[in-house]
Amino acid sequence: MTILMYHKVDLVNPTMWWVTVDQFYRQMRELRGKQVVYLDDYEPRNPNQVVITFDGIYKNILQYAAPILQEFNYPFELFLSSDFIGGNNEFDAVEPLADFADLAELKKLTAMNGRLQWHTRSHRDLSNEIAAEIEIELQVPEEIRQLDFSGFKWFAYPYGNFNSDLLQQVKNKFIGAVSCHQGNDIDRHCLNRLTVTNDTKLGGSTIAAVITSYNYGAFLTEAIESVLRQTRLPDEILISDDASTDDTYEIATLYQEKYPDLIKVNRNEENLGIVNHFNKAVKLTNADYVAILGADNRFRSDYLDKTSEILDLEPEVAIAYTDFALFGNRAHLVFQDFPQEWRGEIKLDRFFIVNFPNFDEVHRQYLLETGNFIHGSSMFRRKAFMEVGGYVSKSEQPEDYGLFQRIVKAGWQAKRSPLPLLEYRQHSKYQANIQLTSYGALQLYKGQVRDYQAQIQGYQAQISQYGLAQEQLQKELAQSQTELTNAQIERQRTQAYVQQVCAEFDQLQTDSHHLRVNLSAVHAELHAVRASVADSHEQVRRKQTKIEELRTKIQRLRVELERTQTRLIAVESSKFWKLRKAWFKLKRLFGVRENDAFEAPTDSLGSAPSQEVSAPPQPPAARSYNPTLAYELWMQQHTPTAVDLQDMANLIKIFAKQPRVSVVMPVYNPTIQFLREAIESVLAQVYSNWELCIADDASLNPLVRETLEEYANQDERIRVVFRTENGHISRASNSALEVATGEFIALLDHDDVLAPEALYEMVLMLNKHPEADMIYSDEDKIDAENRRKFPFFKPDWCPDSFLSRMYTCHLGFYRRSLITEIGGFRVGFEGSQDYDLVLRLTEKTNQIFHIPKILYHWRIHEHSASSGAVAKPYAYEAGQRAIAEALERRGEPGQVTEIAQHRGHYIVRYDIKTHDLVSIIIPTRDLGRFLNQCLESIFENSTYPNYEVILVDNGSTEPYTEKVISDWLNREPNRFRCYSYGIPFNYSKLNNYGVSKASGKYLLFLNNDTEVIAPDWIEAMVEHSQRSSIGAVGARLLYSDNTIQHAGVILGIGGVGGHLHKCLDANATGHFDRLVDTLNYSAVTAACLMCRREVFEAAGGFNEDLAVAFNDVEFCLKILRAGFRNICLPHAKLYHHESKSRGYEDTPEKKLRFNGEIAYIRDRWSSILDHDPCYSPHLSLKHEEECRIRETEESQVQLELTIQLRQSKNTLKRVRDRLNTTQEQLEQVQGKVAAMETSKFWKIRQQWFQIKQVLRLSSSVKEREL
Amino acid sequence: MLQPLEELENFYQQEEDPWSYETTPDDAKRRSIIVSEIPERSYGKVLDIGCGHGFVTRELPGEDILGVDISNNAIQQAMKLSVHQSKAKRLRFLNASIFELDAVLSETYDLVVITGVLYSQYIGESKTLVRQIVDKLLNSNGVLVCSHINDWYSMRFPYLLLESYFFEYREYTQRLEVYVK
Ligand SMILES: C[S@@+](CC[C@H](N)C(=O)[O-])C[C@H]1O[C@@H](n2cnc3c(N)ncnc32)[C@H](O)[C@@H]1O
Repeated sequence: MTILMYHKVDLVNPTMWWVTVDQFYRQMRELRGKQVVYLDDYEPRNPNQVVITFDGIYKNILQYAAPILQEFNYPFELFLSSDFIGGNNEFDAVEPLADFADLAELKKLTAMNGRLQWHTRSHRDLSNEIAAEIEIELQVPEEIRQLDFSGFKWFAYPYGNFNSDLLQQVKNKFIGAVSCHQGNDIDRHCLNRLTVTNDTKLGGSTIAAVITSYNYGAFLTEAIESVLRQTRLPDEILISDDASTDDTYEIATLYQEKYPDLIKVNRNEENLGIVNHFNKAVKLTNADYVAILGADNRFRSDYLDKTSEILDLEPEVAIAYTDFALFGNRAHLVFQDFPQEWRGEIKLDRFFIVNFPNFDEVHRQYLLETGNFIHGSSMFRRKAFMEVGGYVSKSEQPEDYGLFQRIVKAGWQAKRSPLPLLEYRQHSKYQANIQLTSYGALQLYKGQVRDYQAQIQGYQAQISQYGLAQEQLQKELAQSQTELTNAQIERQRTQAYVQQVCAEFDQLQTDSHHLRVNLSAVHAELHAVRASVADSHEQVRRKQTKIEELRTKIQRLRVELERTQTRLIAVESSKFWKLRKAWFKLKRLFGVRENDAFEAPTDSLGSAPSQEVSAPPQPPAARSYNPTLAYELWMQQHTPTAVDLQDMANLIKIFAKQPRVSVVMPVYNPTIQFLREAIESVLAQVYSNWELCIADDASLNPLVRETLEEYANQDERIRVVFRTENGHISRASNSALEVATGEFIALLDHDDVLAPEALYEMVLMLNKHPEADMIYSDEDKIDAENRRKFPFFKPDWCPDSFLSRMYTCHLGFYRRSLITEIGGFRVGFEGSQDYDLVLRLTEKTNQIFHIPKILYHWRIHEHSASSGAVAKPYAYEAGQRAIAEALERRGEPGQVTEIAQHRGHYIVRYDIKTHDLVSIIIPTRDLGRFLNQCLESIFENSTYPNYEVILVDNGSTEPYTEKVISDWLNREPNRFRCYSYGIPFNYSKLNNYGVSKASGKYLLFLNNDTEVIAPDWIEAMVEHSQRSSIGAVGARLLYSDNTIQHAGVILGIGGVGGHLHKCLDANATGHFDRLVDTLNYSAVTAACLMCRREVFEAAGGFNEDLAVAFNDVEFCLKILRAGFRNICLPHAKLYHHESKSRGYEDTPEKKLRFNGEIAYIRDRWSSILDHDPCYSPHLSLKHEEECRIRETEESQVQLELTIQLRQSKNTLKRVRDRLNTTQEQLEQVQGKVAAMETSKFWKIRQQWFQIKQVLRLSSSVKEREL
Repeated sequence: MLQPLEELENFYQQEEDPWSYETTPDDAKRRSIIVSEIPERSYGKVLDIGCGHGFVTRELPGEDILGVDISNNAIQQAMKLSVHQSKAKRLRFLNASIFELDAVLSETYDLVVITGVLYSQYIGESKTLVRQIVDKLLNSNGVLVCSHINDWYSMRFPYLLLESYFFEYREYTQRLEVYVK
């Protein structure tokens, strides 16, 4: 049907005779359904045949066209002009220079399915040549003919020109010939050819790519990018949003703005579900083939090319399916679900390739009867889709399976492309549900901002142009107005004159001569007026043309603007929510922050661009930390979704224990709205075996009763006791307890909210630990607008910490039999009645468990107890009494004081039973000055009556140190002793040795660079050490600059343990005021550590395998294992004159040892190191000075992305607003100019009419005169 | 429009390190990102197409690393600079255009790196051919790493995309892609 004519195929196309490689490839692809043949086989009338020909022959055909022709396996014809072989086209001055192929290259072409044909020797126009010349030109030299024995049977007319003589000669020599325009489509000796240029389209099929998203906005950019970068672009793209609640639609429309001709967007106002949605989406497209891509997946870039090839080549095939590659964090699991024989290669542990079977007869039957192996993104023919009625909803079968079955049943074939063309994401339910932010989306927004800004600039330029035009116009207008005024004055004068003339006409008839003179003067003047009016008219016209010009210019600019915009990237991107380890490494290495590409950030979180990119390695720059945002992110990741809740509900069914839980809620004058929310939160519990026991403490508001009754009627699990008189919280709570029948009690305040999974989690814990008597969870605050904040992440049960504050609090879950046993709540402890309750209850049991999940939201509003400690002073006093009584009951008497300025925080000072001997053990070596300061401060300040100091000298050599020691031996002959122990440094051995020399009941390990601050430090430590449950007692240590060096060790920081709140000011109160509390810690530093000898022995002393680091941590862990608790005292205060920058690891070999010690400890203690029971698993182990919410590396990235994304979105919004206002401005200016034009036009018309009138008048004068 | 070869040659003639890669922190960053994104495994033959003076080439992993560039002057610089490298023995350089590689090279590679080359300034409109050539050079299971200024780069190779992300670079954004064949 067609013979194609090409000349040059190259990287670029400077003129129409060149076709670029990519366009050539496209054209070759468009021929895929056709039969490409040699001219010898060409049947002009066969509509399916095509011949590809080249004239020249240029070198670039070998380099750029031939490889592509080979890929498609097409034969092609080469019309050769032999004079140019090995030369170039210098002779053709208008064409850019190009080389012709030499003989060897021609030979290569023939080896690649090219066939040489004849195009004369010199490429002269033979239609004007004499026969002899023609004869020569048609002669193929023998050495050329040698190049291709099957060729040179066809001829091409130079320039396509021929006459009948030439035609005749050609007929004699060749079996056929081609022209380009002069010939026709059937005559074998003058067949026309189609001149192919870069834009020529050769037909072929069309493809629609449909991207469907339901809340997959996070992955959407990746999906769209994968379609936009296909090697064969689709002819239309539909992004279809099934009523997502995320930013799917926003992203889709941004892309549509970038590619208005390619992308369409559909948004369903209501979620239609897959079947209706897909049917609708397919109907919104028109192309021959359709492929649907779920927004969480990606096409490999040759997906459309390879699948459409199948449909192009095989008309009986309606479905082109492919293999796929699973990726994402669940990929390896899903992979295992596929039958063994389908499981293919695994690429770099990331892509798991599934090879589906070919569509043979066996598998045709398999598809019809057994199961599906054609994935839902397979490409199908629209025709077949319509024929079988599209997707049909069937509950027992996935919609795509049904569709493919029906298509195959209708007689169509399917065919497999055996390549993993679909990248099929397998993400967890979690990932799918939480809104991940994507780096891709960020790029999109940033790109959009850039576009808009460019647009604004454009508009502003226009505006200033208009401004200029306006100014110009105004100037000109002013000018013409002056002219007009002049003309007007003139006219008036003339008018007056004419009138005068008229009036005088009769009398002056006789004096006609005079009149005539007058008249001619009038005429002359009139002429001038007319001229001047015409002139100003002309000026206006000129101006209008100018405006017109300006307008077209603006129009042009606008078009250009649009064009640039489309070129400006939109943002390619594939999603990248996971910036990787490498990136972090790098950032750390260089201290780089990502530059904010657009305006200054508005958030305080914004990153300041840093220039010191090449700075040497330094510790990670402290990222500004936003607790609110961090918690938001945490919630996203830790709040169960509807699906998760459903799963829980299903799980409950298999719980062995499903006890009834009585939720006890005393009510007094609540805000009705909050009361409702509290009750609703119980009704919403996933765990359903509960009863809600409400005691109304004679609330004044009648609505309370009404509301409670309403609920009691609505659900029989809700029971309400109306107390007749107000008895305050303890009595009210007891009233509610009285009607409770459950095995467990959960306490709920009348304006707080339970998480829907709260009771489920409690019961789950019970199933794991049936012995549990008390369970508590973490909690946060919720404000009047239901915003959650201030998460309180708690440690596991720490009895001593509990004496410093009521920290278990909400949600508390207690065995009812125990509560009954202790008599419920006590009157007189109102406000701290729950504190008192737990104090008493925990004396009865130690089966106390902690769920580190936020299950309770404590309402803060104007009237609530949690909004300010000032609210109920009596409560704190009650708390103090509750503790004091507990101490009595426990036989550990002491003084309880409330800590000033920290209501609800207490300090207990136990009475010391006997002042037994304390042995202070100080290993030392040189550093006499420090040692002296240390000893001085001990002997001068300490008030404890009974102690000894044992110095273990590890080989001091400085004379000064020796002098210090001998001085003190003299000064304190009874209380001070020194033992030399000259071993290689081993801190454990030194201490153990010291113990062997000590005679005290209490051992106090102390570093030689400490200095006592609190005179009663020994008393404070003995107070706790004497208690049989207590193991190690630590102290509060300060650096010389009054910042915190040690306030307790948190396990896991830095791998083994680190000092929390290090370097904070000595007066700082720390996270949730933890620095003022006396808390249990798993470990404390041995720079100052006291324990009873008995404890030391139970733990087996310091581990001598650990010479330098962490022997103290390990010692404490052994104490824990022996069944004691450790504690750290904020009031036992000393300086620790350690250098802040000190490191054990300052030389390579020390570093090696240090790491060795870390490994040693981790080997033995990793489970406790990974979860410090005195800390929360939700708090970070990466930051010593600050308590942050623990972030996974991913969420760190996400946090940053979220911040940036928010900024981008804000900027986008601002810029969009600016764009709008600029557009408005532009319109206003345009309007003004238009108004000016029209008003001017009317003015001039008016003037013109007036002048016409004068003219009429004067002509009547003239008439009369005649 | 294509940049003529003479211009490139002059460029490399007039200056060593004409783009100041060696002294620009953003390029140090670019290189270490590229290098750290190469999946960890052992690589035998490695090819860096459009290697320039070998700024990235030098840091690549692999037992036998070949850098090719269309500019002969670039290759001369690369050879000179690589002499001091500890890896010098593993580094080789060759003056060739990407479009002739399938003819010039008879081996195939475990890792192919292309950075800052696939711009229309250099390859015009010939993505299809680049894909074809790279495909001939890359082993099955081989890794392809591309890093380019996003605004000027519109390719995508038909392999599984291990990684694709962006980082700030000078006044631009670089798009890094890692594929496995
Ligand atoms: C911007 S430099 C990038 C150099 C190096 N890859 C890097 O990232 O540091 C681009 C290089 O591509 C080379 N180049 C341009 N066209 C090429 C072609 N067709 N074949 C091979 N190299 C080419 C240029 O000579 C130049 O050295």
